[in-house]
Amino acid sequence: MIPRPSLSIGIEEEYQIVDPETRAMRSFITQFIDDGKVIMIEREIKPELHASMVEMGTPICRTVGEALDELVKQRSFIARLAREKEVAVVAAATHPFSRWLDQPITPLPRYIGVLEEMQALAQRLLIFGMHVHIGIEDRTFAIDAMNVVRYMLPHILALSTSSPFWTGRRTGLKSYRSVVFEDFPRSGIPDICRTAADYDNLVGTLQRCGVIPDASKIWWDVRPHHKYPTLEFRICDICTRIDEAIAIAAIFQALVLWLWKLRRQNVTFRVYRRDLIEENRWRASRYGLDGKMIDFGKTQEVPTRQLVRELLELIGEEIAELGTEAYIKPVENMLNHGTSADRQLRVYASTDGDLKAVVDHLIAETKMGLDL
Amino acid sequence: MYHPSFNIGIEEEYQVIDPQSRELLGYVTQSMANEQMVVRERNPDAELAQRFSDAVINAGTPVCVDIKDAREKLLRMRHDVLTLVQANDFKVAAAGTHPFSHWENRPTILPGYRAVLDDAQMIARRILCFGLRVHIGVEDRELAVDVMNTMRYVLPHILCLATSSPFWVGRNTGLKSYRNVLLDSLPRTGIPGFFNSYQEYRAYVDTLIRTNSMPDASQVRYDIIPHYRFPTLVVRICDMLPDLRDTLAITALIQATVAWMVDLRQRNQQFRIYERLLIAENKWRAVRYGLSGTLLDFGIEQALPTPTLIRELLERVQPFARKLNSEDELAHAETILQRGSSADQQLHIWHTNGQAMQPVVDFLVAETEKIG
Repeated sequence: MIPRPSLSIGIEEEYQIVDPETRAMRSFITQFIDDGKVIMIEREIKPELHASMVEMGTPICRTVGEALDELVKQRSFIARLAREKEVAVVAAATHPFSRWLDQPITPLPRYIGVLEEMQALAQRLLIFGMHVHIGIEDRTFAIDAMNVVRYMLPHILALSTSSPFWTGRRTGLKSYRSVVFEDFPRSGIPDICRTAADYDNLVGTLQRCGVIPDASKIWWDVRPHHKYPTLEFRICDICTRIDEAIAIAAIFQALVLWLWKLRRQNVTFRVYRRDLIEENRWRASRYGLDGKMIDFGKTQEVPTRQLVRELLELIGEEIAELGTEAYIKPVENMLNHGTSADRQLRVYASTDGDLKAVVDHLIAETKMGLDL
Repeated sequence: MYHPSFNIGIEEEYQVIDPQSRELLGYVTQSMANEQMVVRERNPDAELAQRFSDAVINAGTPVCVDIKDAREKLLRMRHDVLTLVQANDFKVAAAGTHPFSHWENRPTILPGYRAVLDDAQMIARRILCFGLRVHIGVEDRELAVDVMNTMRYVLPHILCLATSSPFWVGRNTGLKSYRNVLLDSLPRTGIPGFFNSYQEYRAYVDTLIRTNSMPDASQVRYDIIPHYRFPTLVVRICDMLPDLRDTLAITALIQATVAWMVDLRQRNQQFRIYERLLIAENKWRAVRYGLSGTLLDFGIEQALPTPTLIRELLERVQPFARKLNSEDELAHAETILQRGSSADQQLHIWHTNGQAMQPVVDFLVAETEKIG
C-alpha cells in the first residue's frame, strides 16, 4: 500500500531588490558576500546569478497555517533588512523596466561558471519564481503524481501571473517570465515518465554523459526534489501578495491529497502529451485568467476562470479535509478582480504608462500582511 | 514496400541590406505554396516600399528531382534575387540573423507571422530571423512520421554545420545559432515529441485546430515535421547560409539521412528512439557551441567532439549519397568542418576587425554574392 504522503509544505521565493528613489533594481547581495562566501546572518539568504536578486526558503511546515506564519516571518525579515540598507523588496516575476544587460552578476565562482556556459541566456534570466514543495515520501507515488499533475500546472500558472512587463515594455503577456525560462534546456512541462525507473534512467543518462552533476539541474515546472522527499512545483510566478502565494500553496497540497486518493481507488487523471499541455501553458502565459484553456477531455475551449473553479470543486473535499478553505479564499477574489499581472496593468493604464508607479504599487503590495 | 521519391525542395529567405549603413531594410521570402518570392519592406518610410511594390519573382516549381536539379534552381533563384535587389542599389545577405539591426525599430511584422503576432505579442516581435527549410519527398505519411521520430536524433548534428546567427542587435550572444533560441520561444517549436503514428500526429494537430489554438496546420513549427500540404518531410532547424555550397551540402546530408532511415525501416531495423529531452540537450550544445563543442552519443553514453560525430554520420549516409548522386555536394561538409560554419567565420571577421559589425555584414554580402 502506498503510504499517505505527509503533505508537508515548504515555500521558496525569489525577491527583487530595488532602489526606492530610482525604482530600478539594485545590487544587494554583494553586501553580504565576503571572501567569496555569503556571510551568515540570522536567516539564510541565498544569492542568485544577478546581484539584485535574493532567494529565501521557509522551513518545512506541517500545515498551510504554519506555512503562512513562516512566509510572513521570511518576507518581514528581508523587508526589514532591506529597509536597513535603504532599499526595498519587490515580489514580482519580472521588474517592470530594469534591463537584464545592465545587471551586475553575483561575484561567486558558480555564477561566473553559469554565465560562461549559458552566455547571453543566463543574463536574460532576470526572473523571479515561487517554488512550492509538498511532502511525498513514497517515490513511486511522487513520480505518478508528477505525471498526472502536469495537466493542472497551466491553470495554477494563470493564477500566479505577475510579469506583464519586460525591460520597460508591456509584453502583451501576463507571465513573460515563464517564456524567458523556456530558453533554458530541461525546462517547461516535463515529458511523461511512466515510472520512477523511467525518470531515474533519464537523469542517469544525463549524468553518465556528464551533462548534469545531479537531478538539481532538471528545471522542469514540476519535479521530484533531488534531496528532499518532496514534489517541487516550480511553474509559478512569484505572487506579489502573500495571501495569494499561500492560496496557491494550499491548492498544490490539496491536489496531491486528491491524487493520492484517486490512486487508491485505482483511478488516475488522464495523462496527456506534453505538447498538448504546453498549449495550455502558453495560454496561461499569454492571457492569465482572461483567456480560455483547452479541456482535453471535452476537446473544447473553456474560459480559464471556469476551469479554475472546476478545479477547486474537484479538490473541494480534500480542501475541507485539510481545513484550508480560509486560505484558498483569495482565489475567488483573484477570479473576480485579477492577478498581480492584471493589477500592475491597471496601475499602468491609470497612470498613463508610468512604470515607476507600477514599482511603487508592487513595493506596497509586497508589504501587505507583513510584520514590519 | 515504401518507395519515397526523395525529391528536394529548398525554401530560402534573404536579407535586403542598405549599402551605406548596412542596416536591414527588408527581406525576400519564398514560399513553396505559391511558387513566388515576395519582397517585404522593414520600414514603410524607406523608398524600398515603392521601388519593390510589385516585385515578385516567379520562382517556378520548387520540386527538384535530385541535388543537381536543386543546385540549378537555387542558383537561378539567388541570381534573380541578386539582380532585382542590385538593380535597386541594395545588397543581399543570407544569414540567420542580421548582426546589429534592432527588432524594436521594426514597425511592420512578418506577414506569415501576423496571426502569430496577435497571439504571441512581444515574442513574435522578437523574431526577425531567417531560416533555411529543406523539404524531402516522403509521400507515405506513416513513413514520414516514422522518419521524423528517428531522424530527430541527428538534427543537432546537422545544425552544427548550419549555424549563422551568433550576433543579435549588435551583440555577440556567445551562441552560434541565436535564431533557434528566438524561435523556440514560440509555441510548437523545437525538437518534437515522439508520435506513434501519423494518425496520432494528425490527432494532435486536429485537437489544436478544433480548440482554436491555431488557425491551421501551418502553425506547427517543430524542427522537423511532415508538411501540412505537400507530401514532404520538412527540416527547419537550419539557419540561412550565405555560401550556396553549404546549403547544398546540408540539403544533401538531410536527403541522404532520410534515405538511410527509410533503408533501416525496410530491413526491419530502426534508429533508436531517444527521449525528446535527451535530443534537446544535444540541440542546446549545437546552438551554444556549434562545431567547436561536444555532442552526446547516447549509444555509448559519452560526450565526443562534435566533428568526430559528424564525420561518423557522414560515413554512415555516404552509401545513400552515392545512390542519390549527391556525393560531390555532400563532400563539401568536410570543408565546413575544417573551415568552420558561417557563424565561426562571422565571429572570426568580428574579432579581427576590432569587434565591428559592419565588416561582418560586408562579409555576409560578399559570400552571398559569390554565385558565379
